[in-house]
Amino acid sequence: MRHPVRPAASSTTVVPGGAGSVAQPGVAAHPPAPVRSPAGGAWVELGYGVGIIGAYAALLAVVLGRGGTAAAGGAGLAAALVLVRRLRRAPRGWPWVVAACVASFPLFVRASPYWIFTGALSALYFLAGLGLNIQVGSAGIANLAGAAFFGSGAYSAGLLATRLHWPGWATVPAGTAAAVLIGALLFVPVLKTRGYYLALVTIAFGAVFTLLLTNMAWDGGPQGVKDIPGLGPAFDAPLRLGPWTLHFYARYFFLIAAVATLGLWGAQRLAASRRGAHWNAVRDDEVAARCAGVDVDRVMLEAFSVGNAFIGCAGALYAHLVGFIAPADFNFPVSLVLLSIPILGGLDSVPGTAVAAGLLIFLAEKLRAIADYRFLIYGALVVAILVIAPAGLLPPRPRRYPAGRRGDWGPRDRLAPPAPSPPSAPLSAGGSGAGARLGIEALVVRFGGLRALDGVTLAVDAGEVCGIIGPNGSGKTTLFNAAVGLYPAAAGRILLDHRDITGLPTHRISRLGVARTFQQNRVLAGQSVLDNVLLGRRGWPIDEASEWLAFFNPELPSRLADPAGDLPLIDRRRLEIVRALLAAPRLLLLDEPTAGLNPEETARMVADIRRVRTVRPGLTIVVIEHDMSVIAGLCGHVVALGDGRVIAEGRFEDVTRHPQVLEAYLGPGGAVVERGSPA
Amino acid sequence: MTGWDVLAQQLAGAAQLGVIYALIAVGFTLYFGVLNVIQFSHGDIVTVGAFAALTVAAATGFVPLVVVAAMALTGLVGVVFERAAVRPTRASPPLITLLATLAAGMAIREAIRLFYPLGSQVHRFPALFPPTPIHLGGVLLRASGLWIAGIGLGTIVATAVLVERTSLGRAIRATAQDREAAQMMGVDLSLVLDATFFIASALAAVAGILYGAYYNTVTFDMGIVAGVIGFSAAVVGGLGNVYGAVVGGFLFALLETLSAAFLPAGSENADVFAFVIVILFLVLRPTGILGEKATQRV
Repeated sequence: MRHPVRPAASSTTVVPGGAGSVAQPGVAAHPPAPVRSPAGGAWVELGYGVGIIGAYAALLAVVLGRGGTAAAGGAGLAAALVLVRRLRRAPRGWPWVVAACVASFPLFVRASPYWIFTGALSALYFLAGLGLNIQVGSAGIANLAGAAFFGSGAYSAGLLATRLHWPGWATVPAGTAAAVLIGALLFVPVLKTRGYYLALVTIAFGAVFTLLLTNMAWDGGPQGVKDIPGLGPAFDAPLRLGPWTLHFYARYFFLIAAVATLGLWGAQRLAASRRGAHWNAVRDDEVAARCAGVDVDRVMLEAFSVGNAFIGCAGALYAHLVGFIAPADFNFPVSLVLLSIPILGGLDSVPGTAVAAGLLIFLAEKLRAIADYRFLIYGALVVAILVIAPAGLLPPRPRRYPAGRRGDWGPRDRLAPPAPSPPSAPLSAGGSGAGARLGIEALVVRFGGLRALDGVTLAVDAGEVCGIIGPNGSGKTTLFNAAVGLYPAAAGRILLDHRDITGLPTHRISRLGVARTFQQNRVLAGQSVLDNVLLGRRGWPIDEASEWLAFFNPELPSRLADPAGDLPLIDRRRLEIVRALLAAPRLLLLDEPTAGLNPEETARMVADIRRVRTVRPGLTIVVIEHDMSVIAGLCGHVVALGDGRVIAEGRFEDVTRHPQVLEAYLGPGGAVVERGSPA
Repeated sequence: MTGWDVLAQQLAGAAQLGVIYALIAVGFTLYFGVLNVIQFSHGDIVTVGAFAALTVAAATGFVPLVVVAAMALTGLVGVVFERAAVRPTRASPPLITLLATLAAGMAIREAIRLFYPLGSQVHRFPALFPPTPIHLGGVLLRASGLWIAGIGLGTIVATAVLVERTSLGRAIRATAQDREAAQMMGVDLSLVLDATFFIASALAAVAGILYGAYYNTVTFDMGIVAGVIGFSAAVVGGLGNVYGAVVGGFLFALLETLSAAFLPAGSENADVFAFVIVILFLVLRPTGILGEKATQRV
């Protein structure tokens, strides 16, 4: 069971460490906005507004102008982009300014239906780009068959409209659904393959898709579907807006822009939500995600399907906008154009997707003037952009917290340094405090012919701290990996209290209250401190996270928004422990928590783990360590492994003097040279 | 013809296609093994090779010269490609390199279409090898087919020798295994990168020539399909493994030819069956036939 209780830190409790000094009623311990002078702020906002409008003017100059004007506009756009990249955060109210710019676009280009059409087209590609960005950017699913899902939507809508005479309001949802359903054909490969192999699966799928469209007769064959009606009768008439009469493409433009805005809103919400954080975690470190209780399979299929819904919807609208579709419109090169939108914009960056979609489509259309050379220039330009800005045009900013709340702290905004006060009372919330008993019975784990664990039996009682020692390769980490379900057990049982957890998927075991850290630190380096520690939690228990972080290092709560990879090793190790503790565990598995730390840091880590014991006396802890001082300082009960078997068990003093343990560490005859502790 | 003759006939075709695919796949696998990148426009390098041969063949009919000149030219294009699109993006996430190579490939394809005389049309490929018929029982072979298979196999063997037996090959293998360690032992990384692209692109040139000789025609966009098939073969064989690439190439050719011959509506759907089998194969064996490296990249 998760732990949904929010700590009562907001009004009464003095929160130890960072949160205490900033706690205020109602806002809980939410970090405050950095202090800014209001007057200066207003000027800055005004500057942003002028900047956006200037960029828009530059865009219009590019579209409408020729020669010098267009080039000047292009330079203006590039300057605006460089400026925006340097912004720490987006200006307030920018969505409204951008919306006004977009909405007024058809008015400015009203003389040319062609540019209105191009505007609608780029909104479509933006919508599809959002979907691909969720798949490729957020969740790391390499989808090189974007055109196939685009085509699924387009063909479904086109065929339903021409053959069954469905109206537009029905064909577009149907096309969206069709793309999701056709995407379901790839569910198994998405789960089974990764990286380049998944990329190839999607390429092959895309190839099959166009080949079948071409070879089958009922869908129009190579000629495709012609004369697809508009979205409805209303969409065939010119649009009158006050004094202006606009080509009927303007109707499509406004509709598609509205749908794209809706998509943008949804994508932003998803990216800012816990689900977005899970997508990123799955992309960055699947193992860490699983161990924190994330259902990786489900999360991946969700991201894939949500992405396909966006792409399919765009495809369906495309069919109605263009009126004619053929298999060649959805082949591999088209997939690449679609994929280049999120990559060029900056993977996992929603605003970047918008910039790239606009740039690519308008650029391609503008280059049409130089007819034949446009794809050559296009290719060369993409290479140049990637060489100059490998992270994309607008790289993603860290997630803002909490989702939906107008939090006002950007990536680098430092928070007020908290008063460094060690916690005097046990942490107010989190965890029932009751530990679980871990029982391992005759556990065997095999790698090929090697028995990494060869009949290990041990028991750790609830509330106990158990140390596991043994030379390298004796099976210590394998034991943890088997306990959390990362490695399958060839024989034997793993019991949590009296429940058999053998063979359960890792995220289920995690949700039953087993949390762990890793010998090779597995924080998500590119994600914020807060993202890391909340990985195993629902909702936004920011106060509790700050509390635990301050428990280990009073300075950490001020770095909630920093990328975890920027922290020194000891803090990254602490982060893993906080991540584990925030999951309200009943059993905590620590895999060499002091590996790589200097003696001073090691001593602090041991002291901190002991303090965890004082605030969570019931928690069962198992520690793997090579450093015997750590084991001696923490564990009453020690198990020694050697070659995948338990070779000694008991009190620390006894186990470390056990002849077999000495032999395992020092080789045959080791007992003879014994001088106190073997480490 | 008996059923067995049909089968033998198909196998002869598959053998020719197989060496072509294998040559392309070896390029993919070299790039991946040495640089950990997917050079997604390797197919367009194949096209460059075919058109280079076309150009040289217009001047001379001496086949060895045509092949060597095309290999050298294409190898140089490959090195330029590497320096322009791959090296500057090598430190970026793999998807960035992937897109950069794709875009550069598009530029190459377009350059051929625009700057080769009548580049957008289908070009007849000169008959470099005599089409003399050879009858073996009920099976009809052509001398050109034997030449295709022979040259292809010879090139593959020569590549294997180059990689396994020469000091350059040792440097390449060392870089593939551990780039930093290789550099510390005095391997010139820049040279290895250039050499890898030169070799892989020269192999692509051979593939392009054999492709032209097999189909008798070449087009500026033939590289798209050739590249996808070559990449499939490399992945099915196990990325990074040269022998896997060869196995994958033949396997893919076999799949294509046999489904064209023996399945209903097979000739137009041959690639459909081949690709579906590739997908199923990857699901069942996600790292390829001879693949050891489990990749978490992209």
